[in-house]
Amino acid sequence: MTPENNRRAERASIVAFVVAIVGGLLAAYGYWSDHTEVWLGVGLALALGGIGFGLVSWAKYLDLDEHVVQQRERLTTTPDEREQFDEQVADTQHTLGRRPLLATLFAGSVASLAVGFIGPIGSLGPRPRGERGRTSWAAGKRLVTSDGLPIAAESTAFDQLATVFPAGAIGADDSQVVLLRLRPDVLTERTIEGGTVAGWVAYSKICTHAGCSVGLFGVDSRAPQEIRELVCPCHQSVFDPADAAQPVGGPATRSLPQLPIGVDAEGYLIALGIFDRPVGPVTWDEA
Amino acid sequence: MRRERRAERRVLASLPAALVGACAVAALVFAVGEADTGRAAPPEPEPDLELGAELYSTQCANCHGVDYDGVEGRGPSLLVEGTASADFVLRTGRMPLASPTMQAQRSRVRYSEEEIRSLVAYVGLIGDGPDIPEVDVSLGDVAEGGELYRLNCAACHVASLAGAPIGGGRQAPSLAESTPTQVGEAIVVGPGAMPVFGALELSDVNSIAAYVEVLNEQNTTGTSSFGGAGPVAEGLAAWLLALVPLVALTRWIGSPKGGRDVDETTDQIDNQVAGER
Amino acid sequence: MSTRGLVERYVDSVTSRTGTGSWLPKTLRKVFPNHFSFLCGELALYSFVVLLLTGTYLTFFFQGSQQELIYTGSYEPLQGQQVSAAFNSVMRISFETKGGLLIRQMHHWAALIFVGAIALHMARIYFTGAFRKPRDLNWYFGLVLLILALAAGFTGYSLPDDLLSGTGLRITNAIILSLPFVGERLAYLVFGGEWPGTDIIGRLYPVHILLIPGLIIALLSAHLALVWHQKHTQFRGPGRTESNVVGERVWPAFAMKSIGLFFMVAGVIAAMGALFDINAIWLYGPYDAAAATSYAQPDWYIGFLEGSLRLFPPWEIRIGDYMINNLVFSGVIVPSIIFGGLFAVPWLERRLSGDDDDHHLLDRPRDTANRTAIGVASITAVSVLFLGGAQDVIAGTLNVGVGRMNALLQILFLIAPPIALVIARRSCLALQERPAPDRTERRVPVERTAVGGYAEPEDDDDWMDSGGAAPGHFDDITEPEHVRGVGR
Repeated sequence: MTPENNRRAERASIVAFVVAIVGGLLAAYGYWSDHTEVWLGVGLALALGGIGFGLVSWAKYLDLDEHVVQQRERLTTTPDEREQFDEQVADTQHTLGRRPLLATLFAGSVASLAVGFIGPIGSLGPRPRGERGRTSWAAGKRLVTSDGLPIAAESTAFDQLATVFPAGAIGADDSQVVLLRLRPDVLTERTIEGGTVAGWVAYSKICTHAGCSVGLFGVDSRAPQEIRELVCPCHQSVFDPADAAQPVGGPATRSLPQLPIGVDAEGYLIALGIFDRPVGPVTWDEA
Repeated sequence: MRRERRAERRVLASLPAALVGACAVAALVFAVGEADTGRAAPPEPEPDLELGAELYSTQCANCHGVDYDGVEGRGPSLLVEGTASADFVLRTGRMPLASPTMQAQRSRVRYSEEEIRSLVAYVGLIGDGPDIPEVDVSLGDVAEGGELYRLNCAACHVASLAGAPIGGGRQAPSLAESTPTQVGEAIVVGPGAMPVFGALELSDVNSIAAYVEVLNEQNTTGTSSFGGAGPVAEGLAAWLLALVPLVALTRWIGSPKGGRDVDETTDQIDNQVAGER
Repeated sequence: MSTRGLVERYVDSVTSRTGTGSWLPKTLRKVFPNHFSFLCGELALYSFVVLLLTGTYLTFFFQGSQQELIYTGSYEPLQGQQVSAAFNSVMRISFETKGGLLIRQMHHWAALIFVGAIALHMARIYFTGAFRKPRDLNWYFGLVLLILALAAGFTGYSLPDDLLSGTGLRITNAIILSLPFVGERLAYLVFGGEWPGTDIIGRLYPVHILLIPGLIIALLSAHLALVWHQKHTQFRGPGRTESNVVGERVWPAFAMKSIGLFFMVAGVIAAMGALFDINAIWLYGPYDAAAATSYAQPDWYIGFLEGSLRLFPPWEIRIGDYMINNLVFSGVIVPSIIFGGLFAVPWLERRLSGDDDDHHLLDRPRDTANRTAIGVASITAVSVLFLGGAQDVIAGTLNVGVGRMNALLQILFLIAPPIALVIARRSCLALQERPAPDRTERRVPVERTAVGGYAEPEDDDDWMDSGGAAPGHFDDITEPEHVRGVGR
């Protein structure tokens, strides 16, 4: 390394440390300024980066760079050491090993201690009692929006979407329903059997794949055919709302449970029954 | 206010960002952001129905039909549409569409203010659809709008307004340039692939439009938040903006200084090793 | 020296009470070889230090509770909303605590960088063969550390109780639920009952700030102690043998550079936190089961799992009334294969190469064509999973359909790894034909390297010359051709 290089490197370190000092002061100012997050952060970044740069160029260029040879130490066990240890094991067998009954009981007592601790683990959560099979829906309950407004069956627009809950249980996680109004002629037979009114059709909004809200509804009216899709934004499972929400794309394997709906005397949509199976993702015995 | 501070914060963020070499991109995006101020009340020339009729027959009838009931394979009937649809598609440049098979997207507005008003009024006469909602963000409740947005809109348009693909090759557009009226029109009309949100009342629409406006003021789809594309963009940024420079720094730290030189050096080490043996 | 300075006297007062008088100078003279790729692990270490520091600050404000309350903070678009105490406290950190948002964003950026640095570090270890005996033990430590880092990241992502947090936990709940026999009971135990319950945030909090960091610190200590004790590997070069280490001594050169690197890492993280937004929870809002947002992804390092869930075809096995759920395949078996494969690496290497010797000299990736090709193919497969996890963002950017993008990635997952395998192997073989690079070393400060180097007295033990005790130590291999062979 030439003296000139050394001088340059020293200058680089000097600049870096000065920048670091300015950065620290800037950070202190930044805290009191009106733009705390930016100037505090930029100041800290300059201070930290300056120190780092200064140290590294100091080490790299100011005669600290070096090239040293060191021998490795032995890692493997020598036959001697192995023999010594084997003897200790043998000794142990002669002393402790003479009382196999005690050893067995000791092991047994530790194991039973572990068993004793299982109980508190059970307290972490209650035993499942079919809660997942029940929702807040019941026959006769009105479908209401998150604002609590009922939905009038009388409507002119098609391809409508609303997220609805049972009246009295707004926001209930397991009772969220995606309510659609499609043209009645696009609904398949089994969809209509599932309980629809004038094109209104209601499905559980919880994806049967991994439980996210099936929030996307798209209509593609471009030729040659109209396509309607309900899509889950998490893993892009696609359901056909005109055909009992059968899965038609993505990883989902089961259709969204359909909520049978009807109209009450005042012309508002109500549930005629409940879901015929648990909503959302299921366990292995709910196939 | 805190919110304004955040907005300023983003502007400020562009200064140091320029230092790390993102100035060109930042300048571009901020320039776009600045240009997006067309929310002032437009002047109100009287609609001219004759002009509307003329524009319709020359510009629209080819696809939507001289009888307004659509042309098979080209364009839908306008008999079920109202002024809301017409205003929305004309003011966002979605119509006229170059080809009937493509998805209508926001693009350059093709008509003058007078032409739009005339055409909208004309379509309003022939069709029987929703009228332009009288959106007034000052009547909306921003927090309520946010809740409704996340419940109804974010699934497609993303919590940050960035817009996302919704299957079938269609895209939910970014709302970064949407005016409150356009937000309201889209909610009542359900343009393109979008459904109609008939359960939302005008007060809800006001709230949602107010929320969208607030997010646009925050510039939630700006450079400093990577277009609002969420954790994927953040992960990419962690690799490109942090890990790559850090590895470059380790290259500098770990490289032999002053190049590779002096043969005698090698000899010395070799001699040492030989000496040990 | 007649008069000793303050430092000397102070250190002496400690060493003479702890019996470390001979240990200290020896430690300061320890030699570390110099190569940039050896610093990836330090990148991870130092981002972890930043995580601990920023995380500790955040704990002073965060509340790990799902108790519902009304948000009354200064962020207008959420005022009056029902939020959990956890969400509320993160909002407070972001808007009411001066500098809080910076620290929070630094913490999040540091987490992304931490796992990225671990991945780079692991790739370096793999492709240079540094995982071979005797360092196979440390490979396992490192893998457990990787898993702990992922767990730390995921629990941290879940704590703010925003829409993304809740969505991630919902998916976790679904995966646990799908497990045969124990699924439902286990899900109830973890979440304290039916989804979503009111316990999970409060439970994840101690796991995130105590249990996992504690385990990481413990294992990291073992990891580093082992590196220290076994001495670092080095690349082949003149004067470098299986039985020596050529490089810089800890003090001052190595330590200064390493400490300098720490400051640089912290500086980059501070800059990221200052200039870029990350995880804007005020946009996602409090978790609401009925709400949804697109671009609902986990942080990048869980992307392989997200991709597995998205790309796996809608298959499940039904046996009578029972089934192996789709999520068991994509959420349990696929990640098990990935991590099982990583754990099997040292064993596979032994099986395929038939080489059970100690190795302290590193391979150049090209010289071990098969190992490199297998690594490249595996990384390709996992990369496709990562792309799968971002499939909607990619489709949105390229303006193509998500379904089409999904199908493309499914095909790519099957065909890209074998193609990558062949290309990587051919490239390695072609590169081997090139002349070896100029390995001439730079100047050695003569006054510091008397013949015998810095060998400590105990390094000159007889075993050095005995030949029998440590076979690997005497393979003075400097020519790459020497190591080519079956299984390499």
